[in-house]
Amino acid sequence: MSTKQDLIEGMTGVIVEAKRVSKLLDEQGDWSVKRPAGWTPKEMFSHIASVSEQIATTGPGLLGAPEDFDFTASTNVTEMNARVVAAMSEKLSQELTQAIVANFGKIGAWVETLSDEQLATPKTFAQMKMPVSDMLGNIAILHAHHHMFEAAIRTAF
Amino acid sequence: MATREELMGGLQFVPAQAKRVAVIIDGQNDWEEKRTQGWSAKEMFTHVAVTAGMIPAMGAGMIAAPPEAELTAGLDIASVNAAGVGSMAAMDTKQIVETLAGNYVKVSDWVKGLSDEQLAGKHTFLGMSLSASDLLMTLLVLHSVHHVYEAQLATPV
Repeated sequence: MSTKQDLIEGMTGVIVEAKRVSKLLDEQGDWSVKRPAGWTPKEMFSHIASVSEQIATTGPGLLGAPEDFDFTASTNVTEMNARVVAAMSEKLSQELTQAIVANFGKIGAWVETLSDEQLATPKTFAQMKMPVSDMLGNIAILHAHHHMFEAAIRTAF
Repeated sequence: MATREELMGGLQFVPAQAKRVAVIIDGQNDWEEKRTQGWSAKEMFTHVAVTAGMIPAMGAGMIAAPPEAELTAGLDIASVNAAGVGSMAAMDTKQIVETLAGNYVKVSDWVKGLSDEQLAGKHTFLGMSLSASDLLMTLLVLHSVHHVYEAQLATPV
């Protein structure tokens, strides 16, 4: 299970990587070049920005949800992702990077306030039951790295 | 460009996340289940372990390569990946996680031996011009977290 310290460091790691990958994409002039995963880097950064905003705003409510409540069971995630990415299409790449930095800062500040008991509470996400801390580790930290990788590369390997 | 400190932090982050996610996959009893990307969780962890294991052996050649030389020229990445995954098929998942962690210790030691000038040296990887530190960050940190993320996810999100 992720500790609070792991999560805080992980959030900081996402911020550092978002800035670094953003700079690389600036240098490559690659923000609008479709990646093998299907989205452009700009769309992937939009997705990370929107998911992190959701976590920052709905995370506290998640703590009160019943253990068996699965957000993904009642939501068409693919449709929601497409809609949110389209809604952010007018944003500049720098604005998206700034949004990611700000959102992960907010999530980190919220995580700081959680007790060990809250972090250990089991919840359900995408049909998997796990403690809140692992859910945050997966859907905030790993998920952001996953898409930053896809944004950073032109060819899958 | 990724700093040495960021790179070393990333090289510690990957095995820590791999160990954490391995516990989740153990709990879901999900190691052999194929993910939508085509590999099972076990195969994805193997791929991460093999990639880290190759770098100390191949890294010297990479560092010495001229900036314009495509590092993957002549390399059939799909075949290398398939052979790598096949090479550890007989291992159990605990052995794979241990190998992965051990390979990250070895590759960290190798990175420690690189000079700042070597880390800043430009190289071409899959058509992208990157510093060695950015290349290593992409290959050994983002790429690995990308697969660790995919390994834990029964349903794509």
